[in-house]
Amino acid sequence: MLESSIFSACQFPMWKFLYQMASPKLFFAKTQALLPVIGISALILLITGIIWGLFIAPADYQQGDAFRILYVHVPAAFLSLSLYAFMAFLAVLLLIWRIKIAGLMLIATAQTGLWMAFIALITGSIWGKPMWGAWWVWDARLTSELILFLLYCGILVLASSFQQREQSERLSAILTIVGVIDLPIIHYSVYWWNTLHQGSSISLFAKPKIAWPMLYPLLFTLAGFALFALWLILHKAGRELLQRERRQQWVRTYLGGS
Amino acid sequence: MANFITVLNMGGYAAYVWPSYLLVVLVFIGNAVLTKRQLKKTRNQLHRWLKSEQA
Repeated sequence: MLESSIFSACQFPMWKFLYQMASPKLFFAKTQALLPVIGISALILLITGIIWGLFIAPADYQQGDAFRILYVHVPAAFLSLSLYAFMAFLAVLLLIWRIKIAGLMLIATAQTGLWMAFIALITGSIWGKPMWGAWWVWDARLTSELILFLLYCGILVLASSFQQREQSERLSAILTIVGVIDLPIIHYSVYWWNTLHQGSSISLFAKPKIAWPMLYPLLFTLAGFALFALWLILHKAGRELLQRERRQQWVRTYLGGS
Repeated sequence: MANFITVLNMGGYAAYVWPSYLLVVLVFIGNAVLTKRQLKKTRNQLHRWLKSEQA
């Protein structure tokens, strides 16, 4: 009965993929093979996007060259949100299906998401000074992004606060799910409240509000940031997996060959 | 030369644009180096552990 239900679940490609990736050996083998490609692609996209954004894209008619901060600020802010959404998905996998890899992926993603939120806050603050005349204002968008940064901190502190790894991961997963409420607040803050922060320049479902010559480099840096984050997460998760599974034969074989 | 200085000046916003990019470069390189170093350290530790177990 159990076997047949697992089999039927495997009929759906996503479940089949998740089911396969729940195996530490397979997860490690597949991700390690992909790491060089991800790393090199991230580097190429980042260099191209940054050079294009800094030197080729035209200056904004209102903000002048200060708008070029957008090419690092927007990808960092976008990833700080999307990585948190990914963590919520992992938290569900951990709490409901008890997939162990989801726990270590959650912590690795939080470590990366924390840096993205940090970059978004600092570059936003630097951009705010010439545009708004202040390094920081208690604006709805800025404050909700700061709360996201603090959530990342809280999840990581919680993850390292217990001797028992399973307990700390479960508690981190619960806090992750509770914190999901902050994501729509960040996204809609610029519409719900009268804020200094401008509305979204790009959206998944609407026509971009930014001119195409300015948009192309942004797409490059967005993809570069995303691939770099993935590279970091898979590296961190792979390291943690090696430590946890060190008594397994596949780790011994891997270490013998490396 | 004058063109190069104009680019560096970033229309008078150099003090804001360059530090933003510098921060990103530092965070990215720092994270990449630290992650690679930690992975190498873990591999070495596990090699030593494996050898001590086999001995």
